[in-house]
Amino acid sequence: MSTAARPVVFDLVGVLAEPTWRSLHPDPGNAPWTELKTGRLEESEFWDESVATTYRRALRLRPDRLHLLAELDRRGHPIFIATNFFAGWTEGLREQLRRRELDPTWLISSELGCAKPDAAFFAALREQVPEGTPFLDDQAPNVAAAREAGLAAFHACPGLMNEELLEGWA
Amino acid sequence: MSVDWRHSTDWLKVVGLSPTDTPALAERAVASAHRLREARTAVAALLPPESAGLAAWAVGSLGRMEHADAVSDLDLVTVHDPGVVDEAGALELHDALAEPLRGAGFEVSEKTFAEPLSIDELVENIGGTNDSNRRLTYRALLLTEGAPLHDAATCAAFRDRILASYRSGPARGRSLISLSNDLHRYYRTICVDYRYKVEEAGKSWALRNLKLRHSRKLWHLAMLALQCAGQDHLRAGDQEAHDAWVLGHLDLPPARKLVLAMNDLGHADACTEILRRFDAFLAGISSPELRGLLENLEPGGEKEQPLVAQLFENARGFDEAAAQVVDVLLEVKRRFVVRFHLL
Repeated sequence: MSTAARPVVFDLVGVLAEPTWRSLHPDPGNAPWTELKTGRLEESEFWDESVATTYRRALRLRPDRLHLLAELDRRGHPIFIATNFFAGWTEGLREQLRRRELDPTWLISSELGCAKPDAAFFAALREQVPEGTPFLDDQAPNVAAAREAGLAAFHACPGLMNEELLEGWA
Repeated sequence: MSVDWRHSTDWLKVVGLSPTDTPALAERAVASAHRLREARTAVAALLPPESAGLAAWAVGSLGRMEHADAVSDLDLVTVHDPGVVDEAGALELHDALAEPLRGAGFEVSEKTFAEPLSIDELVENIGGTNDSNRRLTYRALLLTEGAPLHDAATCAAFRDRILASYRSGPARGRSLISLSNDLHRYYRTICVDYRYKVEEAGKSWALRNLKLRHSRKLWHLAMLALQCAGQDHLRAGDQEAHDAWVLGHLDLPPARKLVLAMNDLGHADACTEILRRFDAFLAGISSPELRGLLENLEPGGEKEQPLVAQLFENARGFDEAAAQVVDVLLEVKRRFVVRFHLL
């Protein structure tokens, strides 16, 4: 693989998409998120169906980040989305990506059975991307763990614009 | 101790308080979280499959997690991308959002935020001749107390554009000083605007005065403390870590932001009295009857009504409590306070 076409890995909520489930959960401080995000809980045990429907409606990829993904794709970079998330929430996002003919590789904690910053999650990611792959996440512990795993991890600081990322990576 | 600063009342424990010590603060936080969920649910059905170029936030008491249904209205702020939707279209979308919010029982304010601003207006010419109090207000409030209501993905993109206008460029300064100065400017602007509103625009003075002396002062003090605490992250030699820490906590409600910052500086205990005073203020203005009294109070009449007098006395106590915090900031970050906050 050429340097110019190296893969790029993104976190989902907080980097590519919004909002967090916490914005709609009636008790986010005590929700069984650890269980849901690692595939050990049914969604119906997490929140009511009406909230689940509202969240699916509200969840969207950021318009600026969609441009970034499209530009990276145009330049030949394989895109990975590595996320602590419930896979059942991603259909609307996948549809947004399909409309732009984008087909990233997803690594979702609820399907893997483990979550960032666990080493097992990054081991699964490293099976698919080489050492030094750019990795962008908004959580400091995930950034630290990604560096441990040999990735070129960046903290998605508030105010981070696409231009900075493209300058650094592509 | 690990603290969830956004979604629990654990942060009160950091200063040795519990929700029963500051019941108004705790109750309003719970009520705000509940009403924010209701507001987001009320407008979720209006979200199209792709961004329509308009983002909406709640600012004011709901954004600061100080909402009380009986006395609070909803400051609905909308911002549009002129490349996606023009001004007229954005206004239609704004009005379309306001309708279900009113249906959900919100009194949507028709004052400062009745019309959308374009994102370009918020990020260009900051401090220049085309800047205005309205633009400054939108920027300051979106960054520090904006709770996304509609199209959170576009909200985040717009917020990052505003933050980037402070973060980028050769004159940004290591401590994000242009952002700091703009937030100082907003605070001083509303202090001066008070005179205009009361003396020329014929608005009532008492509640405005009390809000300035409690809510707004806490907002400002919390920002000062946050920037002071951010210096330790900068001294670790990591600009990215500094920016991430300061900007990542910028939109915490003021009371939590103050405690977070003072805790980071090792002086959380300096916040106890100011939180008690702020709670007493929130409790006082929760009464529609008392607000009615304040609305019609003549200047100088505050001593004649015991409950009103108590609130003004609380404002004096709040000043003393704020001074305790400032004393600590001067003790631990004197050079930064002098160089960037005072001079």
